[in-house]
Amino acid sequence: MTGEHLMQILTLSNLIYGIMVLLAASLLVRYANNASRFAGRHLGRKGHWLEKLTVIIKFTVYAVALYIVVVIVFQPSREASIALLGGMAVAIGFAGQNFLENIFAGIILLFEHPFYVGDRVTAGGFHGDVININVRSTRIKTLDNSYVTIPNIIFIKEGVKSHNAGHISAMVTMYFYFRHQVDVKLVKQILWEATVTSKYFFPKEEVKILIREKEWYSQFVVKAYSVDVRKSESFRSDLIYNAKMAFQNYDSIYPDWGKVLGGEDGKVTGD
Amino acid sequence: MAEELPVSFTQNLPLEELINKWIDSNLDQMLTSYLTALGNWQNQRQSSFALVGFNGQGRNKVLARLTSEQGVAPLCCPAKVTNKKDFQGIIAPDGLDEKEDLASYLDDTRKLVVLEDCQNLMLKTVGGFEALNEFLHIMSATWDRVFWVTSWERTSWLYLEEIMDIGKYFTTVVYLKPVESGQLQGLIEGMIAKLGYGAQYDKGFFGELTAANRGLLSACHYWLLKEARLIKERNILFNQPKYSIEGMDKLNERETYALVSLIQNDGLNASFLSLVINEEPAVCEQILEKLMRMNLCTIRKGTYFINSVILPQILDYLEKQRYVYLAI
Repeated sequence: MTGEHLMQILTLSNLIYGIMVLLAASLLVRYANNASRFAGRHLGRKGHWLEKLTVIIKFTVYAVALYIVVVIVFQPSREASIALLGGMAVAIGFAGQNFLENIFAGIILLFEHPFYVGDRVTAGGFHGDVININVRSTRIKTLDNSYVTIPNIIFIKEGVKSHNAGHISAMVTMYFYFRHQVDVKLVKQILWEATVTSKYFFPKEEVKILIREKEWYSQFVVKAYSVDVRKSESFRSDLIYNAKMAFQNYDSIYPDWGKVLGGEDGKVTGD
Repeated sequence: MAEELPVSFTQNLPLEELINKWIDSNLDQMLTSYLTALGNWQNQRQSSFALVGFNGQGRNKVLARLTSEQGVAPLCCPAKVTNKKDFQGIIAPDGLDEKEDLASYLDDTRKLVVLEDCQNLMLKTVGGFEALNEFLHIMSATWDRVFWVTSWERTSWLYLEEIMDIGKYFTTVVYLKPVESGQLQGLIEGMIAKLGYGAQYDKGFFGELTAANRGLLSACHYWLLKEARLIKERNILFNQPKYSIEGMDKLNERETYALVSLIQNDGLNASFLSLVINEEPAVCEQILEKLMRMNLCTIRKGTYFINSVILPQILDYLEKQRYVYLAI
């Protein structure tokens, strides 16, 4: 492409139209985000699917905007298109490589759905709830209420662990340790009651209580679903509270951690 | 010119009569189920009966009608029963705590045990299932000598169904049906005509009324009269209400869960509520007072119950917030 060709395409009016289209797309995306948040508030937690839909809308709006700018506004000739692609390749090779890499990663996330908005994920060394999947990056709210922006390529390169895979409820696993001599039936009943009476318990899924024999203690594993992935930590805390309150009426049920660890006596009921 | 309904009219369209008429038209089917279960037990087959219905649906009235031929006085769990000794006290005199003694006593004295409001055998807290477990043990141990007929509040039953599959302990479970729009329309028009009035309403009014209230008769009755107005020539105009409960979205998590607890436990006082939501009784008193002020609950003999006439709207809100799960 010669400089003359480029000048023919990059006229002031074309540039203004292009910018306007991109601005309109950006506004549309913002409205979609706001509408999703508004509907989410009014539909309660059932509005979860709207957040997923918003991600698709965002990608579609940007793709259509790009198409309009390139094909309709600039209307490049065949030679110009080839030259543009060549230019893009050069750009990718240099400054824009990371940027485009993240955008392509965003498109892969859109189709593969390794997680959805609202999911609790662990990725890039962070653990939290996905609050926004953008074209280039994904925003996560960590459990200590910090906001982290993770480039999309991290999810592709390093992998991501989704704790609820698009569902609102999420499984919580809790470990409890007792002496070998403990009344197994009683412990199981108390752990079951502590679970099913928690306000964060999701009753549509079965509660599983498994027992494992270890050298120094009997391990009880409680697997149950929290009503909302965002309430998983509250569910865990509630379960420990309920169980500890009930077990405090019984003596000598916990392992003698002093002997196990060779230090002072201690009691541990959950982790 | 629309006017308020005359008191004489509202007094003459009582819920009680509506429920009785509804029971009359539905009793045959339930009676068949009951007699089949009874017949099975008489033929030495394992059999027990559970009747499940919302408050305000006439659950215990139906139970009395079903068992009237047997002439058995029902036993009742009027308030929360949290330990097995108290439960044993309901079905037998003090001192009989061995299962075999209890079975022999029931065999000698009753044979047929009618137990109302069994949801009160459960309190949703750790240790709150003792009486319920005892009841289920005794029922399982005595099925060949005693026929157990029970009634349960529906939201408590659904909670128990989800966490422990309570339905598997009963061979026959009858759910009180929701009222259908055509049936409600027929009942209301019949009663209004008897009072010498006519009725006007939009097409689909009764359909919307029953749908918005999940077919719960007491709730339909409440909303039906709430917006009704008297117009000329002794005609009653039924306006479509908005079914909105103000201020529910302003409840915080603790207050919302207190509301859920009142529903799932079918009524609590402040001390029981404090065990369920892990808060001080004084705090629970405040929460309950607030719910009372908002007309979300009512008080009877020191126990707070959910306001059953707006229960469908409360359930709608709580389901949306994923606090309760009901397939009705």
